[in-house]
This record gives sequence, C-alpha cells and structure tokens, in this order.
Amino acid sequence: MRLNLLSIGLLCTVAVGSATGGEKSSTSDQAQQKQSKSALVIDSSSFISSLRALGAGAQTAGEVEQPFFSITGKMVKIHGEDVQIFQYSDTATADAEAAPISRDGMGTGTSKIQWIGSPHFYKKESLLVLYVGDNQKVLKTLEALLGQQFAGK
Amino acid sequence: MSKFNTQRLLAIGILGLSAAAFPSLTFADHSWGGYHWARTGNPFTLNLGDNVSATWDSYLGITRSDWSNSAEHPTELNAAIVSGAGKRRCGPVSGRVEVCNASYGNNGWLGIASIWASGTHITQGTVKLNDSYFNTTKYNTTAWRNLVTCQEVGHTLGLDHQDETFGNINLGTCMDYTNDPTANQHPNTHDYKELGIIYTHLDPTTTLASSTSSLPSRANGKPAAHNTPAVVNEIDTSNPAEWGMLVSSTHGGWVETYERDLGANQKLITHVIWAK
Repeated sequence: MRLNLLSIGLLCTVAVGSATGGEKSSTSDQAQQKQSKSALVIDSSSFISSLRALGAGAQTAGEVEQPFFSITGKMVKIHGEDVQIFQYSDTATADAEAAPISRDGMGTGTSKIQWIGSPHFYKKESLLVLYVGDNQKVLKTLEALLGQQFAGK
Repeated sequence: MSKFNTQRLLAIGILGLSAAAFPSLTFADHSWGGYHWARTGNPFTLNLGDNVSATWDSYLGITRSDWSNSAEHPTELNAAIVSGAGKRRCGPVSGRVEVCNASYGNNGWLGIASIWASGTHITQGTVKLNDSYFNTTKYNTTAWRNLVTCQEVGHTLGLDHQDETFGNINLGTCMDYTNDPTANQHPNTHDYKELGIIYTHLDPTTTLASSTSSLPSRANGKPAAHNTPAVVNEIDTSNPAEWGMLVSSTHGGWVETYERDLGANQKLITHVIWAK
C-alpha cells in the first residue's frame, strides 16, 4: 500500500515536471498544471509537503481551535501568513463539518463571525483549510493545491 | 425624435428626479433569517448575562444602552445586564444571552455570536469576545471593543450585517464590516428600523427569561431553563439514550440527527458526527 502511494506520488511529480518544462504554457497547460498540483494533496501531510516543494514555507506554528469545528487544527505559516488546517479521519466527516459554513464564510449554522479579515475556506478530501486574510500569494498557492474555495469572501 | 420617444424620455426624466429627491432613502432589510425572540407583549426585556471581565464591563454597558429603547432611538427592546451564568465555557442559558470574553486563540475571529432557535424563535444565545486579539495594540481600542460587542449582541437580536466589505465607506453602524471602526461603534437608524420590523408582531408564547435581576434557579447543578419543560434540566445530552428518535442518517451513518419531543412545543434536536 505504501509502495503504491509512493509510485503515485512519483508519477504526479513527473507530470508536474513535464508540464512546467515547456517555455511557453498554453491556458490548457496551466489548467493541467493546477490540476496536477491539486492532485498531489490528499491530506495534511501531502499538503505540507507540496507547500514546501513550492517554496511557500509551511512551518508549523502550534494548534488552533474553532468553536464550529469538532477537532483541533494546526496552524502553519504560508508565505509568512497564518493558515489553519483541520485533518479529519475521513471525507464524510469533513463534508459534514463544512456543510453548515455559509457560502460567504461569514457564519456557520446559527453563528455569525466577526473575522479580522476576509475568510477563505478550502476542502480537499478529508482536509479543511481556513485562511483569514487577503494575501494574493497565499490565495494563489491555496487554490493551486486545494482547488477553489468552497466558502469565503 | 418621435412623439413616443419624447414621452418615454420624459418618463425616465421624472423617475430620475424622484430618485434624486430622496438620496438617503433606505429600506430596513438585514434581518438574520427571520430569527427573533418570541414575546407575548411589547416592550420586552432581554437579559444579557454578564460573564465578562472588568475590562469589558463598560463596553457591555454601552452595548446594552445602544440596543435599548431611548428618546433618541425608540424601540420595543430593553436590554438588561444580569449576573452571568455561562461559566467558563460560555454555555447558553434558556431565554437569555450570555456574553463572555476569553483568550480563544489566534483563530482569525474577534467575536462570535451564536443563537439556538425553535423554528425562527430564538431560545438562547451566546456572545464570545476574543481577548487573543483585544489584548494586542491594534484591537485594544475603544472603537474596536464597542464595534464587536455591539455587533455580536446585535446578531443575537436577529440582525444580520448591513455590509460585509472591509474597505468600503463606513455606514455608521456596528453591523458594518470595516477596517476602521471609528464611525461604526453603535447601531444606526437602519438597525432600529429593522428591529421595529422584526418585533412589531407578537407571538402566542415567549422564549424570553422572565427574571431581570436574578440567576435562573438550578437543578442538579445545571442551569435551569425558563419557559421550557422541567425535563430539560434533567437531560444528560452526552448520553445517547436521552436523544430520542433517529430522524436522519447520512454519510454511511457517520452523521445522524435525533429528535426528542419534550412537550410544550419544545424539541431536543441532537446532531451527531461520530468519530471513526
């Protein structure tokens, strides 16, 4: 099982390498590139590895709790900004925790939140990621690895 | 130009003039999903449980005054500050709003307001103010403390934000997101109008706690709930046997909802996400 995962990881790395090899990328190449990077992430470990491979940092910075999530998360620094990651045991639980979050990210269920900046929620498999802020480098990195935000401003 | 076109242009011109004559015309439209406290009469009193430290007391007092009836802003609501019963975890108490402060961590939020509801009737609420930020130079200001306290309590009345963009022109209300809270520390006329709309009608029952001066009575060490069946105080929600009937099961049984009829038009709804 571990060997299989390693093979998949190597294959994906090769795919990214060849996609970035050309001098001029077309739009479809760029989309493919994004998809390939996104495909690398299946959980918090692969997310952090991918961030480091991109040179985005990803130093861990302690734990974080949210009253609307049932588990404790980890804080990581991406391009120097705080980003919260919540690793669930399975995708169904992550889906259930993500479901009550309003589309604009300003509330969850019957709670309203006063954020310190614009909230951005991402989900990939059993991983939920929250970034509060507007740093474009961070937003682009998160989108490349996790796809479009499912909630936020 | 044909006669028809001239007439149409004239009509547009008149409409334009009408709009220009009422530039500040606004409509109250920021109810939060129709949520409101059920009452059998107006005016009414909502108790705010004071669980805050001394630093926050004056801000809670200002917020109480902001949302209460006065000559400057007539409203059906009178907020009253009573002894807190939310304890360390800021637990909700039926019929009132518990207001708390603590260092909840650098998790991105300054304040969070939560309500519990039976249909659209608010039954209890909590407000949490995050000292992890308010103890920093940026947020340890009168303006930020006023804005967040006012806004979170405003949510527990059934109000939504008027605006959620940080960098645009301030609307002069605490229900407006902003980067500079100076002009947004208190409610504005629009908020009072919306409260008027929300609370004009009366309900056949009340979800408000009746006492304004004392803590709810206690049963078995748990806060008692006003206007709810006595059995509520005896329920141990950590015991699945007390949840009632399974009404929904999704994600292969990982997520379940149970309902228990408590009588007196009250239901206990338990939403469970099982650990693997």
